[in-house]
Amino acid sequence: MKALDHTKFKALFTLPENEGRPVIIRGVDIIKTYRMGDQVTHALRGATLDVYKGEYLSIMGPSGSGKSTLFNAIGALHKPTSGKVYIDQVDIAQLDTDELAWLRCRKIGYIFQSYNLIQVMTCLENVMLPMSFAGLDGEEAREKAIQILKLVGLGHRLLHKPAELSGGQQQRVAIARSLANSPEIVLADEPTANLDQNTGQEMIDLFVKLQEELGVTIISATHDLKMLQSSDRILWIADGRIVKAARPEELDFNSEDFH
Amino acid sequence: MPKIQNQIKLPISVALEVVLQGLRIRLGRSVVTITGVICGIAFLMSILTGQLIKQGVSEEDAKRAEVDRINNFMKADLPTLDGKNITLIAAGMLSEVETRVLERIIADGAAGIKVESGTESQIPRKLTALRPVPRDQLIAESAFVLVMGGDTLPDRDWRVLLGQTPLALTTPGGSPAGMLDGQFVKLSRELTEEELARRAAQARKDKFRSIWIGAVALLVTVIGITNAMLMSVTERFREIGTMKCLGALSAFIRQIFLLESSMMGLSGGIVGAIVGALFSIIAYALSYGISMVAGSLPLVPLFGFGIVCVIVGIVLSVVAALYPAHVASNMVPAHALRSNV
Repeated sequence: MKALDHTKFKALFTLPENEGRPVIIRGVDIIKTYRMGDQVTHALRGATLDVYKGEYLSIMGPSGSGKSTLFNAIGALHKPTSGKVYIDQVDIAQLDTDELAWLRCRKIGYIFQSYNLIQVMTCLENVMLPMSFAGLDGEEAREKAIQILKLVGLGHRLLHKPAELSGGQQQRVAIARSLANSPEIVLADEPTANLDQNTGQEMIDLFVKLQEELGVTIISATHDLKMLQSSDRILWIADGRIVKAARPEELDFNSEDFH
Repeated sequence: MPKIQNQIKLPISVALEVVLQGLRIRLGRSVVTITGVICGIAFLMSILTGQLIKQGVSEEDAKRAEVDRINNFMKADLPTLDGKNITLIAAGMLSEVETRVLERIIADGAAGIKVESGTESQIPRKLTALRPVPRDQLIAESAFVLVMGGDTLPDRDWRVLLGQTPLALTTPGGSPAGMLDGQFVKLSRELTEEELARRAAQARKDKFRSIWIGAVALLVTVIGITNAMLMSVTERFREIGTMKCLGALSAFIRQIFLLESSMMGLSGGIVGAIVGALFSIIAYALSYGISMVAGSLPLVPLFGFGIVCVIVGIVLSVVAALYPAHVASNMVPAHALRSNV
């Protein structure tokens, strides 16, 4: 395993205007291998990236490129085989399970590709669940959850179960849930994949609003051109490594790469 | 910027709420899991009830044989009891065999039983219609005198009273004072040493057999419940992963599963105990007859076994859920999310 030269990484991926910006998540040479019997899968082969505080970052990459593994690693959902992940300058490998739970609960909002809503709970309860983990209960939590659900346009579906909602609506519940504890970071895996154009645009607007007004850092994996266009920065992941960084205005979205 | 802190511990009421909601919503699945517990406990309970019934039936058989023997003995001397009076000297409580002997005497057409001694409360309710009558006349009129009850006789001049009696009998329970020896014919039967040894051996064999059957029943129960609990946890890995991503502590996850399993154990245990007992009672009633089973089933031990079975159900469910709950609570969230059970 070769040691990573961080100065070289900087030269490669740090855009000049980002020099000196506060970093909220730093991944250094993250390697993740899965073992299935004799089969060894190298999901990440040394991914290195900086996520700046308050930026809207999109990550692109074909399926199997290690995108989800990267998400899990920088979202403190698993520990990398080697390499470091710092969230707010804290090496997450040093945290015990209680501290990790606190981190996942307060700092990060997760939006999963398959929503992962708790099927036995109503929309409202799904959004209130992370609040109860954070110690917020009762009327206060209820009020806040209703507000967030209204924000994502589900004010009329509070007491429905996920199974009674369309894919897009479930996605919006998932987004609402990720915002429950006012996180500093929102990690979204294909958040608009199941939304129609209009709703997709609404979600993008919501993300932009969160980012601009509340300074929330948004990291999303996406192939949605509109999302890419709205983001501050785009990273490409291929074969378990970050291979390219760019601002959307530098890119030609009509080119073959995006279709 | 706040530093990383320890996640707060939620009160158990939150876990309870989640569990109750889960059980209600997933009613179908919960019923399947509880059925596993019910089957295990019902099996255990039916074995225990069966042992009780069998023991009761064999005791009942012995009692019936003894009653028959005593009554036949009387009949050998008195071909018919029709219209005859019998004097009963009761010392203390009558045993069940003695009561039945009396019942049989009445059924055989005795005119009446005169209770000579002891209080009415010592005589079974069925026979209280037979009131004590003036003592002097009665012994002479009696076909025979019966001494029953486990206590020593009240201090009276029995020798004089019994002087004119054609036949004086004592049942196994009856223990006339030593001075009356020789005047009585004993109805009780002394067991020979050989018989006693055979009975003890049989008791040992029965005891070993019931322990062995109980152990097998318990094993089957453990396997059934463990399997049910394991399934109920593994099929929810994804949900557990999600909860962990949202900030649930391992202890909270563990609490949920242990609470859930204890509730399933409780409900499954209660239903299982009832089903098992009923099954056994019906099965034995079909082969021995309803009256035999009803007469020989002691309710207090049956109820005790029921309680034991419910406790076993709870304990086994919790123990069976310990391992899967441990696995689930310690899962890395990313792994839990990936699993597609």
